[in-house]
Amino acid sequence: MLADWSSTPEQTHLSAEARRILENAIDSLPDHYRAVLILRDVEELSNEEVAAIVNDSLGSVKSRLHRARMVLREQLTRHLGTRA
Amino acid sequence: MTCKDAIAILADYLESTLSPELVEKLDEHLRDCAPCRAYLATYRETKSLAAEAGRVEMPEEMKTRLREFLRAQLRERR
Repeated sequence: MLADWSSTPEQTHLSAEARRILENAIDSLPDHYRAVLILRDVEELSNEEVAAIVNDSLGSVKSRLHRARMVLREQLTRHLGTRA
Repeated sequence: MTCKDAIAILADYLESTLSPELVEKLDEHLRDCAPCRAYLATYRETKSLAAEAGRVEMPEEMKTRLREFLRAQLRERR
């Protein structure tokens, strides 16, 4: 069974530990993935805007975004999943 | 729909850009698949936590590298 840590206390407020895990995970992403993730999920630009900024296709932006989120999710699951 | 198929379209699912047919198939899969429901919940949470972490504090080095990357992208286009 896959651990669902989305409703653990860490989720309610970003704990220092979760922030550290996230920052490390974001930092370890390749540049192309990190840029798309930050522009999309932090800056909340549209997929089309991000594609224009990073000079790539919409499909490639969506694919990189999805993979970047999956890497972060994996890291968070590794650290928080055992508490779910 | 397999679990792999389901996970591949989660981003589009959250952005409501899937066709009604695919939404129906995914909903049906999620009803019967607890691991995929957990995956969706944690994927959604990851997106929200990353946004929160990024808004609160993006390390200076990361900001610098992002700026450099974007400048390089712009240079390539010229």
